[in-house]
Amino acid sequence: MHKIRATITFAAALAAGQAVAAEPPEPPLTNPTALWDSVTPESVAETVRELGGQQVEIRGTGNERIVTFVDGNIPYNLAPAICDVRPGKCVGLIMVVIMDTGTVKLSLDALNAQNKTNVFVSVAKFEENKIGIGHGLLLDSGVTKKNLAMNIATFASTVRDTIKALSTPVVASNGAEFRPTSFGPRPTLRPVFVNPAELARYVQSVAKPLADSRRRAFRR
Amino acid sequence: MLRLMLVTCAALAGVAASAWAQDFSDKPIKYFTPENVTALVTKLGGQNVNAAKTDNGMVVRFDANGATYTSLITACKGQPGCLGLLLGIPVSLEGGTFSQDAVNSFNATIPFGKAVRTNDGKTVILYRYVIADGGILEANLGTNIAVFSVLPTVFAKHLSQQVIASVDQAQPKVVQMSAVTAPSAAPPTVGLKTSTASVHDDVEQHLKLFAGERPYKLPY
Repeated sequence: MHKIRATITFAAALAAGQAVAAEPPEPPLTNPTALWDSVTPESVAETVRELGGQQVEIRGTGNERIVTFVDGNIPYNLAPAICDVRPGKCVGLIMVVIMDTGTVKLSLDALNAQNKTNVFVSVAKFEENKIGIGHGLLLDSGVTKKNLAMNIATFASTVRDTIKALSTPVVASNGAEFRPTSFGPRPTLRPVFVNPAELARYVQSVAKPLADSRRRAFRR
Repeated sequence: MLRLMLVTCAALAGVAASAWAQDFSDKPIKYFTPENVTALVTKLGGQNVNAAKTDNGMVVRFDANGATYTSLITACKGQPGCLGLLLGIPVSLEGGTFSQDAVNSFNATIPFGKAVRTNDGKTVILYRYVIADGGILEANLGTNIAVFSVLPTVFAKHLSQQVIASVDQAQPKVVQMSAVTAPSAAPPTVGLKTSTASVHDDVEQHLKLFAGERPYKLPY
């Protein structure tokens, strides 16, 4: 618990461009400079455990396995992706949190406004009352284990801020820019525990079109 | 331009990692600089590569695939170097506008890119954010740039499968995910601890930079 707190605080400080007064604590990883060009559920779970993630599990079976961990009652899902380019190697990792917005529906305007204010995650509506907050990492050709860890840590801290921001929806614009304005009830975002096999299949399906598009471009 | 396309396909079409990596340094990039981004983009085959200082920071622009891409070096404050690379390109339709629904469905289905719509709906900015924390290999950054470079094509294909309307219709593409909603009681903060500070810069100012670049006109 203490380890991941230091890591997240460090990651947040870096991402916000804040001055780090003292020498920042290193994430408590073994072999942080090891180069990884792919992931498995086991390697992702190991990294999250070293970061101090709680209730770390590998869920699902066969090729439909994802890593989940919980923080503050929010279940985080990390799904290895792009696993059919090099045999036995998944060169991508998709991180996603699904939230239920309850009876108050977030408008697409509000989500678009949120996407303008945060580089690290995308927010999208999946169903009338469900949104996803996600980030896709490419490991192809090599990142350090520390970079993988920092991506996970930054994702986790960004999700919390995003949830906080979305709880005050943007429902009006003055034309020049979006200003957070609250009319009526605020949505209470509640986390959703997803079926790992469904998420794994969904992740595999959405990663495929990108590779297909590139192959067509090559033939032109 | 052709090399960038070849790189994209090689990166994700099963070319042996060793053949791909031969052209790139095996020393991890720990910070983004105009020099290392310019050198890499040139190595990838980008044309008219140039670095310039803007009000938003240092940008490296390059042409490829018939479009002009902009990469903004960011997350520089308080660090020995810059840890963020924000790749962006505006896209537009000839005489048309983009619906929030189309943008939302893109964000829900394409995990390695992100789209935001300008207020008037005439432009969508596609972007991808890469962090260097801990180090990434040059070839990995090359993969990220290559994946980003095909986003306009991927977005165009996505649009061809959507109904483009100038009137927002909040009818999200339904992705059924069976799930269990967690209880709405205030969650205990255990496990990952996050900073209360904002984890990323307000990037709306950066999106204005991209919105001012020459848009890529989609083939409609």
